[in-house]
Amino acid sequence: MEKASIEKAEEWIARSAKGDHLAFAEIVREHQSMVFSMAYHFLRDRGIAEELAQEVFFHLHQNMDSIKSPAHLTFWLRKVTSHRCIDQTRRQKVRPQVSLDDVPEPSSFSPPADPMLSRMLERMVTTLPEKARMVVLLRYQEDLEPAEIAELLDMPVNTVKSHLRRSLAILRDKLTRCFGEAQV
Amino acid sequence: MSRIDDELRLIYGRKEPSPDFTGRVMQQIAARQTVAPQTVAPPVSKKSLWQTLRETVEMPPFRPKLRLAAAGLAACLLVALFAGQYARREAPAAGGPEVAAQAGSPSGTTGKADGGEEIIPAGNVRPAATTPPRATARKHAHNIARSNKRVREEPIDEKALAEGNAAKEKVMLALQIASSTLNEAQRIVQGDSRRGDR
Repeated sequence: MEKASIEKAEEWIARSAKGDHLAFAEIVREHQSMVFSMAYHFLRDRGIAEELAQEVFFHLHQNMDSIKSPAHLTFWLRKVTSHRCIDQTRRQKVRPQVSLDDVPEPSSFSPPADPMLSRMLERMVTTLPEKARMVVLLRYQEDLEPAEIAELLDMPVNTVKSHLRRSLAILRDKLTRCFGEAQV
Repeated sequence: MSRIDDELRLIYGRKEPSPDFTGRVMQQIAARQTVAPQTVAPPVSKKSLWQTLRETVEMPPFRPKLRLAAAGLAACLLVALFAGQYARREAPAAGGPEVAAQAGSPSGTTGKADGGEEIIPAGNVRPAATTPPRATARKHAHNIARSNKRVREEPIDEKALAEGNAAKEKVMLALQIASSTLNEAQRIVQGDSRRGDR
């Protein structure tokens, strides 16, 4: 983040903590994409994801006093969103249980940039367990290191690494079964 | 980096929520902030039962009627309490003979008489600590006096009177016979002793 933008973010945080709604709206605008994307990629439902993101920002508004810096704000939002996503999935069981038998077999050989592969991968990721799915999401959406993910999800770094390794192995295996060695 | 990494980065690209998302968030916050103060109830100080009763009675529209009702209720309660105590006190005396009959029954079990007095079979001994001895003696004397008074007050039947007189004559006759027999026996004993002296 640039120095000017960091200063601006600090000002928004300070003003929001004092009850400035305009400053808080700026914070929402700045981070809504991150929060919504996390919720959407995890829950695969736009409506539920928007509701969850709204709840996260409402919770942030109530806890603005505890936010110390822009980095802390980002960390706080990621942490709250990831925990709420996992809770939501466990509560409503919205995670679609897509088995490999339900995934249609490709009828012909596809080129590497085929969107079918992306769609297939997307569906396969939803079959992973909640925590493993969140680890993959934070790694590839937010580009976080295993240590940062471990801090966010309150788990050991080695567990994060093993989640990542196992998830990628599962996905690779499934894709290989669907597309063959050449594709993956 | 493998192909699967690239694909995952591609599918996990940032997505934007609906354009009015920020506005909705701010509206929701404003709505909850306006609702919150109304829903928070003012702190209620705890009142004792007596305070609540007093305040209810002192409410202006109901004041005279409620006071009268309370006084009436209290009087009724007092009368009922007194009557109950009196009935309880009188009950053991009225049920005396029944209690005695039950005490001699072959079942030999301990029970309660109508008057509330505990019946104790002949073999059983009441523990000394249950009632103080002075009170028991006073109660017993009271019961005897009451039963004597009841016997005196009963009207005398003529047939029973005749039977009583006949029985009295028989007893007197038997006493006379016994007396004469005793006299004869004494005379004989005295005659024998005189003859022996000679």
